[in-house]
Amino acid sequence: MTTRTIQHGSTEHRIWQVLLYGGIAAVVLAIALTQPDYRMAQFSAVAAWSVALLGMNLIIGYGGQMALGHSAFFGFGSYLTAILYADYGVSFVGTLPISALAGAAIGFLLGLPALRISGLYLALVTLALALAFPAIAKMDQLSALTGGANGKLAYIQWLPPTWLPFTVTSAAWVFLTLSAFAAVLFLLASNAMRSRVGRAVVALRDNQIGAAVSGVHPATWKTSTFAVSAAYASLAGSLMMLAVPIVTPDSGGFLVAVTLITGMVIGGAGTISGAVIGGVAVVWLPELSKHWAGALPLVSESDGTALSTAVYGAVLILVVFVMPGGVVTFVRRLRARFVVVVPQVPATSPPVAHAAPLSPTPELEMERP
Amino acid sequence: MNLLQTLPWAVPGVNDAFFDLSYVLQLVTTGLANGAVYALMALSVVIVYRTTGHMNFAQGEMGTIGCLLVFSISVERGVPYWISIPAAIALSMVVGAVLQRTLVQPVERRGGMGVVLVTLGLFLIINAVDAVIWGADPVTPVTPFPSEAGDRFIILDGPPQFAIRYSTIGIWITLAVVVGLLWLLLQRTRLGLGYRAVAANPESALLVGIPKDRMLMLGWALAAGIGTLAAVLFSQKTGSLDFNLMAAVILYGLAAAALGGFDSIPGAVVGGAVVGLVESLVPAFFSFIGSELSLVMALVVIVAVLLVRPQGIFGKAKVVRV
Repeated sequence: MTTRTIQHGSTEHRIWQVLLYGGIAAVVLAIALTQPDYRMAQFSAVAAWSVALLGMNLIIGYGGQMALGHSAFFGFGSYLTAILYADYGVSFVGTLPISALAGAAIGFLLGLPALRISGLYLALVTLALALAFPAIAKMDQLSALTGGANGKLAYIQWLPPTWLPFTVTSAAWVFLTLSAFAAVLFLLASNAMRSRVGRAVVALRDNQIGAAVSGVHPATWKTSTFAVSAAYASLAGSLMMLAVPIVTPDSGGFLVAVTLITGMVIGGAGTISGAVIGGVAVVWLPELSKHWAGALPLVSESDGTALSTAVYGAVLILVVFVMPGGVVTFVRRLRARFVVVVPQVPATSPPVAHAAPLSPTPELEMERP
Repeated sequence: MNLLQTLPWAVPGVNDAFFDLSYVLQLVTTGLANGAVYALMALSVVIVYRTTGHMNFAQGEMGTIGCLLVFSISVERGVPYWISIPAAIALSMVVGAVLQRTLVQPVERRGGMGVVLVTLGLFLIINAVDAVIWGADPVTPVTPFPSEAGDRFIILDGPPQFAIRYSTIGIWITLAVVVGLLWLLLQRTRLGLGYRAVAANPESALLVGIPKDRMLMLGWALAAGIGTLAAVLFSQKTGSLDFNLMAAVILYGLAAAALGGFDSIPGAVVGGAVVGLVESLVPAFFSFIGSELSLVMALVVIVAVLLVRPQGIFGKAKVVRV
């Protein structure tokens, strides 16, 4: 089978890109117009989750910092929007910039200690953040704001506007709105990661000393990455309030942290599009595993519900074994058999032979004395 | 007895009862008893980490299933505990080694995230299997140490009383024995030498003919055995056993390991003691900190320590060749 070579930025490449993005937009519209309301809530949740997963991806996948506790920012954003909307009468859209800024500020502050701690220690400290979140949200001193253990309700009025050329239910309008917000946030992240910013972040991940020598100031960039990813997670929490009108202390807890980690790894760490696939997995994998558990022989109804967690765990392990780089990396490998996109060679540099772009990095470990 | 009545001042936000000697000693004892269990969990975390560099999130659940097995064998079948507990520990060691070889080792080459995910998956699977087999209701666990209300040394009498339970002393002795045996195994046997060689430098260890893979399996086996022991002791301490027995303990154990340094065995013991003490003393001392915040307090202490020593109190800083 011959592989087809497409030059990056060529007309052909552009056409494929337009077709891809147009196709995604068409799918989103088709979902909004055809799916029943209970499904719509799930699709809306996918949009919100994927933004949170994107935030996780920025710090872990691109930044290489094992910050596992982003559920705390997620829960924080949800609480902030719920409190501002229900108690202070701020409009939903008005709460979003507040949530992003507050998330970034807290992320920046927490990014400062993260400069000294790395690897598993950082993983543990940030996971601790996720563990601490429910306890803090339940504190008696805060219960007037957070509603204590019962959580906070905020039914956000979100009706489709009259200027829409087609009629949709309000659940579908929620989905469209969340998709639009998510699209903007994805575009921002994708562009940033493909520019100077992204190169600096990835350089820091791959070789901090080398990056520092090349003029990337580690402290500034690492804390900024932390702040931006926290802002994404916080925004995702705010957006989630539109899909699910209640936030509880456990919305920012350990299980959500685990959900975020699994979603990110299933989608593919260090990929932008992996966040969407992770969002889909996070929403439907529990439901599917419940279904599969029910289909197991010799299992009663009640055991099936308990076993769904086991099936979920088994699927996780399976993904690690079958698709270690996540779904996106898997698909890219598959695509590379048919189509190869090569970067455009600047006119001034001498022509280079098109090496296989996906060849593995050579093992340098053994060359050391 | 109550010192506070003699004090001319009262400190705002501080629990008055804290100035009572018996009360404080009782809290310290409770803290050190829990701390010993956390230290055992931290030990199993450290033993896995030293050779593989991984955290096993499923460590606590592996202990829980061992503890539930002990319950089934001893309480439901009537086998004496001095048979069932060693049997469960031996079985969990085998299971630990098998899990390392079948699920963890193949993923290891693909980076740290894979192993984290596999152990998280194991955590979910074992937790659910426990719930399905043994049900969600708590049961009364096997008690290897005397645990009647009167089984204790009364050291300071009169309300509030300061007494140490026999079972608490039993937990401390068990921890001491485990640490002693580990020390003997690691420092005085050929097997332990191999383990330490792999921990220090895997490539060189392979070159001199040490079976590296078997040492990794040994690490997981030891950790699983200690985890099961910790679960049995903890269930005795709390007096109730269900599938969520170790959910919090593994976190305290991880915290203790981080505090002491992930690669240090003495660090695990000290870390466990500190975490246990902070957990019991801080909420009792400050009346405005509820007991539900004790975990948060323990974590705050750990973050503070890690900021000063990012490698933990006893951990070795990693030296990286540029």
